Amino acid sequence: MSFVNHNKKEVNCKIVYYGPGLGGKTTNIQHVYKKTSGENRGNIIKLNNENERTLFFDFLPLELGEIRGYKTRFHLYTVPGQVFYEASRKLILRAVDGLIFVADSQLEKMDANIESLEGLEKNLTEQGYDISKIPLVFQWNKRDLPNVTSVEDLEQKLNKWGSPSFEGAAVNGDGVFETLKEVSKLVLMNLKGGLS
Amino acid sequence: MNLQEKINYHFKSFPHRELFQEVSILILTKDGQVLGQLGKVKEGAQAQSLGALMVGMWQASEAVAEMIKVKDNKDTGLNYQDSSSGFFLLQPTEKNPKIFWSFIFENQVNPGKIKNYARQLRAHFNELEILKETKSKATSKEEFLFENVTEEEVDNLFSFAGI
Ligand SMILES: Nc1nc2c(ncn2[C@@H]2O[C@H](COP(=O)(O)OP(=O)(O)OP(=O)(O)O)[C@@H](O)[C@H]2O)c(=O)[nH]1
Ligand SMILES: [Mg+2]
Repeated sequence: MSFVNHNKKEVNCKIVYYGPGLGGKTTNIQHVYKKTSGENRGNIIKLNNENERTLFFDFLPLELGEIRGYKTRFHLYTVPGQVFYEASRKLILRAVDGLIFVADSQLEKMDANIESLEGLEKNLTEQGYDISKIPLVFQWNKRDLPNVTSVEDLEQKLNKWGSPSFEGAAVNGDGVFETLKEVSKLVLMNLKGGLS
Repeated sequence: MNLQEKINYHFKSFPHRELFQEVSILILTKDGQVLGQLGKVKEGAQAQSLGALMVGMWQASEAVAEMIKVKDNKDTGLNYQDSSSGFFLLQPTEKNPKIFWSFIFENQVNPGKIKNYARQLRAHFNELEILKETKSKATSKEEFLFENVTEEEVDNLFSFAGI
């Protein structure tokens, strides 16, 4: 859950990358990690198996600049996409402030996208969140591949809430920051806690 | 005094503080944010990563406990150590229902002793209620903190991280 510390003038927010297995969630935060530099570079933590599949979560703490005098820190998490890790996904969603749904654009992955999104809706509902109210941004990933579903189709089948969306090719870094910046903006605008 | 300064200050009045000389302590929220710390863990990214992992581990253990219906004795701990180094976590108590204490120790002749006194240390802070205070403050107001955040402000945030 976001944490606003008025004493230290700090805000902390949790952003979760969700989506089907092999969709490119880890690749997204790996790219963010690669591009961060200097003192603000946190360690990336990847809890994965020997095949680089996420086992529990990836974690990247991001120290950003200030907004209106508040120092900003985002904690980026990815969930494990493989179907049998449902219990872990539920845990990672706890206290989430913003979501990036990384969809796999490949034609044959549509069912996996739909299944993952349904899982997300259900998990959020169980925790008392309403998916239509939480900051959510879609990334249509793997646009570099030849056999992809059209963006219109992806929008129509997955983006029922008219959330912001971006095309991406996370392996090349394309769309990674556009997506992250958009969700960051939504999360910041959604922060409660007023100035004291 | 900010929270960290208060924590440092109150630690000074803990009678067994020398025992914790080689121990790093992280005071964590339920979702792994570092509220304060004592000892040599570097502030910032290192502490945050430890916090996220510790609480993640806690949540996973709790989920396991739920599935196998381990009886909740209200003051469970979580433990990972060899004979002299390791770490453990103490769960929130009724007095401080949202705070985890994690203790990381090295080169201890008698780690058991640290564990015994860890609960006392936590209680020492409970009595002073300094951790409760910030908690309610952080969630007291309902209006939005920032309205109409612009693209430019977001770009600024990220340019600071070299992006
Ligand atoms: N062609 C292409 N490959 C990609 C893209 N993004 C990721 N990949 C590849 O897809 C594979 C899976 O990527 P990951 O980032 O590990 O996927 P994930 O969503 O984290 O998968 P889980 O951890 O199992 O949930 C890797 O081999 C990536 O290199 C992309 O935009 N285009
Ligand atoms: Mg992954």
